[in-house]
Amino acid sequence: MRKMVLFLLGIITALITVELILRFIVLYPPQPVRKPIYFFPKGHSYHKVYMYEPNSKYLNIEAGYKRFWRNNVGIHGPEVNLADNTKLVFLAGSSYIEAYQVPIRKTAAAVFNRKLQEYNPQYSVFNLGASGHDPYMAYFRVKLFTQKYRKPDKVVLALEHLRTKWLSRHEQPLSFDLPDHFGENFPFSKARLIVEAICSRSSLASLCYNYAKRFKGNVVDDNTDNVGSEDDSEQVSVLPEGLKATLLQFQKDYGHDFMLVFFSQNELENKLLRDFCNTEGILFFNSAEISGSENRLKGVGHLNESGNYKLGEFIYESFIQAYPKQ
Amino acid sequence: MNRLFKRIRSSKNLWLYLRVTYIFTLLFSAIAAKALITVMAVESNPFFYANF
Repeated sequence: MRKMVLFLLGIITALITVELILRFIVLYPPQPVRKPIYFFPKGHSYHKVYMYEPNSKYLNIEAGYKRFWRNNVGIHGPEVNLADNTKLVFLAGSSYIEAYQVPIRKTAAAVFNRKLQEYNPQYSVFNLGASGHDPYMAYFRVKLFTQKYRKPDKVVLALEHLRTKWLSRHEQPLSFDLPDHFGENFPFSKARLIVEAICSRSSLASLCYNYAKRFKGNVVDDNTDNVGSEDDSEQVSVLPEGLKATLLQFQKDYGHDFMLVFFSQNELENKLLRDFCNTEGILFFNSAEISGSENRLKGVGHLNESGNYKLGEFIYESFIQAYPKQ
Repeated sequence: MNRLFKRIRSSKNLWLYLRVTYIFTLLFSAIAAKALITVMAVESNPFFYANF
């Protein structure tokens, strides 16, 4: 009996030792507390998203082994001022806008926010960029944060691609009606709640959980489609119908308060989108210089610090051109 | 140092506890290292997050 107790004590001490090594030497953070939220109705590719607790930590490997923090509303963007007299600007997009690879202060959203506040201190930028989100999902993300906080004064959608392949993941024609339970908490099973609770307290458990997910055949969630890599060489000759419908829906909801920023190097894509926006009266700005290889991590990945700075500066210049001080 | 080691060895309980702790620390560290290497290899793909 005594041996058994010593044996157990030894195992517990070993677990605590490895936990301390992981947390304070390896700097692997525990999984942040997160709430699953209804996003799309069942039957669609994605039916829930996670909302993270404010100021939570996360690890990013793409730009080296780095630990970053989320902001006061649990997103990777500049601190948001939620005072009543603040003019909220929602900056929507994909992982290029979310910019998990660089510290918050160096994201395009933070650069845009800094410059915009110098221009008019009443503005505050919400970084609504989210990994794997195409423009259609970006539309629902804007709606989600509108429901959680309030209606934005301006909406900027920044795209680096037309996202034809990603848009085809959704049921066509696209529906822009908010599904039942939209924005409400998604109920986890009891077992899942226990796993989440352990992973949010232990780096070792969080690491083992992330490792174990590899064997399940998907990387992050039970309800996601693997969309593969982003395809830079995606050849298009016409604008995807889903993108047209999404842009028109943005315009219908926000009118002149919506603008589109496009930073693809593809001339044909630029021309197609410019022509469409001009015809439909959508504010459109494009720059082909931002997504050059010198502005990307390892020349092919997401935007590096320099790329983020240029993008933030470009969004700001486009914004003040679209909405000059009156 | 040598005396301390001898004293630890003479206490059977302490010796067992330290041996178990040592062996399991190595074992858990090996598992954590393997997991960390795999997670890093997957997440170093620039568009790993596209799979969210």
